[in-house]
Amino acid sequence: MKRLFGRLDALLIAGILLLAALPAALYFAQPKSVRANIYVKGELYQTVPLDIDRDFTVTGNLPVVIRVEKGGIRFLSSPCHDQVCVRTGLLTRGGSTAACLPAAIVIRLTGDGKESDGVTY
Amino acid sequence: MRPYSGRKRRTNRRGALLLGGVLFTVLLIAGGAVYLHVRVVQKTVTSYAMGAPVSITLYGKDGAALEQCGRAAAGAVNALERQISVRISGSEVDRINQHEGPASAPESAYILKQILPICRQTGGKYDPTLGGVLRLWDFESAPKTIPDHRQIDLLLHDVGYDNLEIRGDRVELSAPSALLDFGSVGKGYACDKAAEALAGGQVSGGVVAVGGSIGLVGEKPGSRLYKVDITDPLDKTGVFGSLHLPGGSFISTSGAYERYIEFEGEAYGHILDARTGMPSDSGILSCTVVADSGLKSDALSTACFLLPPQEGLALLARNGAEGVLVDENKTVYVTDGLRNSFSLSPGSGYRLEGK
Repeated sequence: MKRLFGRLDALLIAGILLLAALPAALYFAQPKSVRANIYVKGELYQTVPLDIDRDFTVTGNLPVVIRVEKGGIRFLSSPCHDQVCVRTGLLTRGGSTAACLPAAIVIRLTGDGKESDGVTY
Repeated sequence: MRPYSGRKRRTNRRGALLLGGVLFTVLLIAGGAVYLHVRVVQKTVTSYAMGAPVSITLYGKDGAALEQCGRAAAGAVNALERQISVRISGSEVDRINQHEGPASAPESAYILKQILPICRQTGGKYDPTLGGVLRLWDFESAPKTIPDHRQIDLLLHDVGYDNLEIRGDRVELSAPSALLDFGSVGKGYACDKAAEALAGGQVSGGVVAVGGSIGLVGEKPGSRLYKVDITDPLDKTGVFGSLHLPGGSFISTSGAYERYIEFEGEAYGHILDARTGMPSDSGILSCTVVADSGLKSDALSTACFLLPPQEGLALLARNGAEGVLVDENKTVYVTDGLRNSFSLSPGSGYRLEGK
C-alpha cells in the first residue's frame, strides 16, 4: 500500500491527540464541588468536604464546634464572648468566610470555580 | 467500500499533513499552557491584626521569596496596629488619649491630615474623636443593652476634630473626655502598608485583605483584572455583586450588618453619627468605596455610610473616588467610573438605580 495515511496512522494520530488532550481533560474534570478550609491561628488546619453531615470540634485559642449540614458549614457553638462566628450562619458558596477571632479559627470555602480574589465587607 | 483513486490518495497525503500540522499546533498550545500554568506560583500568608483576619495572597515565580514577602507585609500590618490601636498601651493613639500635651505620633498625624478634609465635608457626622462614645456603646463585647442618652450627650460635648492640634508629627487632643479612635480607617490604611511592603521585585500580583478591606497589587496572572465580591448587607454569607478591578485599586466597605447590638427588637449598627452619638439613620445599608489608597477608601466608605445616597455620591465625586452604595430599598447606586466594573449577582434581589 502506497497510502501515507493508513488506518494504523489514523489510530496513531488519534492516540497522540488523546494523549495531548489528557492533561487538559484531567484539569477540567477536577471536581468543582465546594470544600471548606479551616485555618487555626493562620495555618491551614484541615480541609473538609461538605457532602457528609457531621459535627466536630476544632481547638484554637478556644474550642469551637463546627457543623457540616445541607452542603454547607457553620460555627455551631463557641465559648467566645461576642458570638459573631455563630451569628454568621451557614456558608455554602465558594469564597465566603466565617471567623471566630477569639478562638483564632477561620473557615473559608473554595473550589466551586466561582470564588473571587477577595470579599469586601 | 469504494476503491481509492489517485486523487483520493493525494487528498489523504494532504490530510496527513493537515493533521500533522494540527497535532503540532495542539501540542504547542498545550505545552505553552502547561508552561504558563507552572510558571506562576501562588502563596497565601494569613495572620490576625486589628481584630480581623489578615490574608495576603501573592503571585510570582519564586514560592519561597513570595512567602517571605507575605510575611513582611503581614508584619507591616502588625507594626501599624501597634501604633494606631486604641487598645494597645503605649501606641500613638493611646498616648494621645492620655491628654498629656502633644505626643509624637507620625502615623496618626499622617492619617489625620488625610481624613480631616473628609470629616469636614460630612459636616461633622464623621469624626475620629468619637472614641469615648464608641467605648460607651462597646460594640465589641456584644452587650445586651444600649447606653443611656444622658451619658452619650455628656461625652458628645467633647467630641470634635477641632479639638485636635497637629504640628508636624505631633498630635494633641485637648478636650479631656474625647478619645481618638482610628477604627474607621485602620484596616484600609493597613492595606496601604502591606502593599508598600510588597513593592519591588518578587511579587507580580497579589491581594491583601485586612478584614473586609482589600488592596490589589500588580496583575492577576492570566486575567489581568481581579474579582472582588461585595457582601450582601442583608445576608452576610452571600454576595450581591462583584467588582472587576486592576492592581492599584483599594476597596473598603462599611455596613451596619458587620457589628451591631440587638436591643428590644431593634438592631443598633456600629457606625455612629458623631453629631448624635447614635447609629446612622442615613438609609444606607452598605457602602463600598474604590480609591487609589486604602486609607482613603476606608475613610470615605465610613463617611459615605453616614450620608444619604445622593450626598454620599457627591462626596465620592469630590474626592476622586468611586463606589457602590446600597440603600434600605435594596437600590444599588454605582458611580460612573465603575459602570463597567460592577456586576450585580443574578437573583440577588437588588436593583440598579434607574433600571
